[in-house]
Amino acid sequence: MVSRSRFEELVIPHRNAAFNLAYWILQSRDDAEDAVQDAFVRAFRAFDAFSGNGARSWLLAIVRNVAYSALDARKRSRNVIVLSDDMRSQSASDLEQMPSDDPSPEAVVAADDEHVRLLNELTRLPLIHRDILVLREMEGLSYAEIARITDTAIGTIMSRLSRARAELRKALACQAPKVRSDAL
Amino acid sequence: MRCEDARLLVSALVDHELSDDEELAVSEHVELCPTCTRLAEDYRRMGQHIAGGYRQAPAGLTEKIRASVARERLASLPSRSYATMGRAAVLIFCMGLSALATWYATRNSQEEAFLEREILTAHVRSLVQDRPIQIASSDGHTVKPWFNGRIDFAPAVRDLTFAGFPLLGARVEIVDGRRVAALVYKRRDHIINVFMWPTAQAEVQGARHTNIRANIRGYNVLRWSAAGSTYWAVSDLNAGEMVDLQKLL
Repeated sequence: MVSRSRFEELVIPHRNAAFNLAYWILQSRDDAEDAVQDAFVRAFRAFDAFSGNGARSWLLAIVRNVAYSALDARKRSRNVIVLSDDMRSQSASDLEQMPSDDPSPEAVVAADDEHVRLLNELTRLPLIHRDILVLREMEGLSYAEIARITDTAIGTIMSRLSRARAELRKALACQAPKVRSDAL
Repeated sequence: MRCEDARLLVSALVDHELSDDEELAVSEHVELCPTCTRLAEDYRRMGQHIAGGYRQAPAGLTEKIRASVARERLASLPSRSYATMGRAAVLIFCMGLSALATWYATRNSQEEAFLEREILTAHVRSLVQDRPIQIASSDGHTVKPWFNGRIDFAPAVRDLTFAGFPLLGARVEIVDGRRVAALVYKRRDHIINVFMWPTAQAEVQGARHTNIRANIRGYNVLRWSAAGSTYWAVSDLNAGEMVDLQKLL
């Protein structure tokens, strides 16, 4: 028996976490909103089977699955678009712009700001590294919780996070060799 | 601890995810190694920047979520919540059913009257035009194929000469916006138009199998359903013989 008030109480408060994760996977506010709604409906359907502990991780695992599926669907539809005749006039660079339909202010304003550059690099990281960084740094989740959400081993999370950070740092250093020296 | 090994663990050190022994060993190395110190500092600073990229949910999202969940909840109500919602569900269902029945009855009687007029008009028109027949044949095997491609179903066509209702022929008629089969029979000097079409699914479920007999402006109108088809017979023939025809069809 699903209690709506219990769902309200346990799951709805994590809407920000849900949206943030969906946003960083899909990199579009609209797509993220859709994915979050879809995820909440799925969560509601599965609420009977939910143990009641770790609602945020439980929800985020659902959000992640939904967002990954949405991403797949988007890629498929984009392939169709690329092949279709009426889109031929569209240049390849236009299509490359499409992944991020959210005109992030970071892209326009002060490109030398480390914060901005870092978030830009974050969007370029492979998804497998990006989402665990989001879960770790934005949600402050433990390796065990991230492992649960992504259905991987804790050791894998540990090495992936290390690789993700090294990669991000390298990308940042390539852009501006100063970064390492002016630490704090 | 070798620097290359430590470097791989700095990330976990920053996250406090190492075992006590590991943490001690790695942090001892980091303190002595400027490269690893910088690494740890960079990782911490990067973490703060990433955290600053947190995207808050848009203002209206909570309401959208609630609406989606409410829809899902409604959709799943009958199967999920018999325990407490059972009685309420039954009550709502009954109320809905009664409302539906009222609506249906009103609608049906209106539809019935409308159809009756259409049928009658079609009949009278066929008499006035003096061409009640598009294919003249008393042979069911000639008439039935004639309908192929003219209407979207295959009507049962039988000559009833043996019973005193010779088949004169048939035509296609438009009733209520759809093409229906009109079979023309004769009894003495009376022309009988029999309109027929497959009964719609909704009508079957609505159990509208009641026969209708009416006398409108001197015409006898008979309506019945049989074998998945709806029949309307119209003629100035007397009602008794109309029923005879109905039985034969």
